[in-house]
Order: sequence, then structure tokens, then C-alpha cells
Amino acid sequence: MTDNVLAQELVAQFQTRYPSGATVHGNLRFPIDQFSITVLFGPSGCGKTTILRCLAGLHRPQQGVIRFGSETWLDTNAKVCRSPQERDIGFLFQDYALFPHLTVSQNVGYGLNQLSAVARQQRVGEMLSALKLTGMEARYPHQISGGQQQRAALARVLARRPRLLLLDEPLSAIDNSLRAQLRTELRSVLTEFCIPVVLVTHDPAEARELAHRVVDMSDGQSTMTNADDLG
Amino acid sequence: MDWTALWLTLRVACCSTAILFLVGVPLAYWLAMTHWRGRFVIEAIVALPLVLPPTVLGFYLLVALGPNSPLGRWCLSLTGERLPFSFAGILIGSVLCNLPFAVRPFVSGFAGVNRRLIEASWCLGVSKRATFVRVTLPLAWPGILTGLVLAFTHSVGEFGVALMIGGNIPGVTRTLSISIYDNVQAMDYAAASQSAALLLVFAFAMLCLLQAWGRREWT
Repeated sequence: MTDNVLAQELVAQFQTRYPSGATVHGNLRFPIDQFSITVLFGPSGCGKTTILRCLAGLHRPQQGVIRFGSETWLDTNAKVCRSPQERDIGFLFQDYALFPHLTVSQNVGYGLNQLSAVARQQRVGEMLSALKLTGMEARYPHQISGGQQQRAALARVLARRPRLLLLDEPLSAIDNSLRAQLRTELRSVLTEFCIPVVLVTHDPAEARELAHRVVDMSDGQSTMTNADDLG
Repeated sequence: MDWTALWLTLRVACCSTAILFLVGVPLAYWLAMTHWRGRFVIEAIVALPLVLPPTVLGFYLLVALGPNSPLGRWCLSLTGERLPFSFAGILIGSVLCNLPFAVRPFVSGFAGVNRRLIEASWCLGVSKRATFVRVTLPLAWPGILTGLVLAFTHSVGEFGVALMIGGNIPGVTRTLSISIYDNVQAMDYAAASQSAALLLVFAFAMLCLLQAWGRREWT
């Protein structure tokens, strides 16, 4: 597998077992030098989030390899497993995981410690403006709506300019009536930031509308299909 | 009012609470996060002073720290002083006796922190240590504050263990609780009532403060 890895591709082939004995197979390959959305699609419990957590370094698979371009993130044979901090990824959790004791502004600037105070403030301002959160700076997460929480979490993740964006059911906590509108907004923001995305969903409409390619996990395996071929 | 006893009581309570913070926070964090199967043994050891009669704990401490025990001999050779019937002795007793009052609320505080918030911090490039300081500790703070207040308040009123390991030496080991006991034995109810009222008001005030401070502003 490793012989024909392109320098600008993410290649992941791994498997991990749950304590119950069920095995999840991760099999992904997509370019990382251009914007694209790879959707992991399948019913609840099929292991979509587990694959995302393996990519993030939050879960260590029993066996396999994950390479990001020329970097090895995971190689179980060579006992290599980079921490989430070393992978430079952005992870949007299903419940957004905004820090409840920090304001929206502090949440967005949380991962920007490497920047000077002035640069950090400027970046936070840019992100709040880009995600239509201006005026919400001083509010706490529980003081804003679900849609605003989603945008604040996305702003926090994007503020660091990660090399890969991992989104775990980003619209599942949103009301059905708002979901279609936010789907369009999400796609537009992701396109603007031009970062390759892996997105988990069990919603066929979400998969159809957002995906450039779909990894169907319905049968316990990972079968990758280009969105154009889905019909 | 026995002011010397009050001063000694406050010194023991402050030192004991500080030690419990330094020792208890890492221990509680480990207990809250570990998946080790034998964790219940450590939890039982921590909780033991809750159910053990203070005189029993005091007796075993007296034996364990006495000059005939290996630990007592080692301390004697190191410091030149015996631990029983000394300030250090009642301080050790206070720390052990108050361990569950501090550690159990600490554990609850840490266990209540949403694991995903910690993972979110890691994914934002923040190290584990910085995550502990910036996310875990502030979110677990109500539990930690509860533990500190309970440990301090209980330490101020501690009697059995202090009497067993420290005896009743004025200015050295006679705490306010022991002073009340002394006053009652001497039929000096007026002095006993003054000290008892002080402890009662103090305990009530600390619990009021705990209720007021412990509320999370963001929920």
C-alpha cells in the first residue's frame, strides 16, 4: 500500500475492535492539497465516529497505518502513533464541545496561543465576522442558540487553520427546520477556508448535498464512492 | 476562650487542607480518569476514615508513628523528634482523617468534566498539562472547593484522632475540640459553650460560603 502513496494524499488503512468484539475497518484515500468533503455515511453504531477519532489520534487502532502526505500519523508495526496535538487537525464534535466557562471570543481564541496577543485578537475578530458571530464575543455558550454554538465551534476549529477538518455529525443537534439552511452555510464556509474535510453523517440528504466522495459503512466495511457516481 | 488552642487548631486545619490539596488533586484526577480494575481498592482506602472510629485510626497511627515502629524510628533519625504528641503527629492524623472529605468531592468534580471538552482542547493543539490547567481544573473547581471547605471545616472540629495521637498538651497538641472536652470535664460550661458556639457558627458559615461559591456561573 505504502509504495504508491502520493505525497499529497491521506491514506488510512486500519482496523480497531470494540470490547464487544465488533471490528471497524477504516479504509480512506483522498487528496489533501485541495478542498474536498469526504463523507463517512452509515447507520448509527457502524463505527463512523470511531474512524474519525482514529484519524484525530483520540483512539488508537489495534492495527494499521495512517499517512498524511509524507507524515506517518500511525503505524502499528513501527509503534508510531502521533498525538492529536502533533497532527494539526480540527475536530468538530457532535455536541460542539464548547468550553462552558469561556466566552465565545475566548473559545475561538483558545487554540491560538502560538500567536501574539494582537494577532490572536485579530484572528478571533476575523473568524467571528466570517461566521456571523459579531456581537456574541462576550456571551457564554449557554447564552447563544444551537446554530450559533455550531458556528462558534466551527470558528474555533478553523481559527487555527488546520490541515484537515474532521466533523462529527455537525448538524445533528440542529432542528430539522434549520438544518437545510445551515447545510448550505456550512458548505459555503468550508469552501471558503479550502481545507480538506472528513464529515460523519447518517443523514442521506446531508451526504448527498455535502459530499465530494462518500465512504459507505453500512455493511461494516468502508467502500469509497465518488459523489458523482451516486446518481 | 482558649486562644492558644484556637490558634493551634487553625494552624493544623490550614496545613492539613494545603497538604490535602497538593496530594488529593493528583490522586483524585487519577481516580476519576483511570480505567484500572483495581481502582476500587484505592477508593476503599481513601474512604476508610469515614467509617472507621477515629479512636481506631488514632490508635493505629500512634502505633505506626511511635518510636518502636520502623516509620517512627526513621522519622526520629531524620528529624530528631518523635511524631506522637507533637504538632507534626496531629497534622499527619488530620490529613489521613480528612482524606475522604477532600478526595471524594475532588473525584466527583473531575468525573463531572465532560471528556469531550478535554479531547477538544487536545485537538486544538493544547498540551495535556495546559489542558488540565485551562479546562479540567476550572470545570472541576466546584468539586475541589467543596472538598477543601469540607476538609478544613472537619479538620477544625477533629477530636478523636487528635486526642489519640497528640494527647492534650497545651500549646502543642491541645486543639479547640480537646479544649472543649477539658472544659466540660472541669465543669466549666461557660468556657465550653463559648468554644462550641464558635465552632458551630464557623461550620455554618463555611457551608453557607460553599453553597454560594460553588454555583457554576455558566449553567
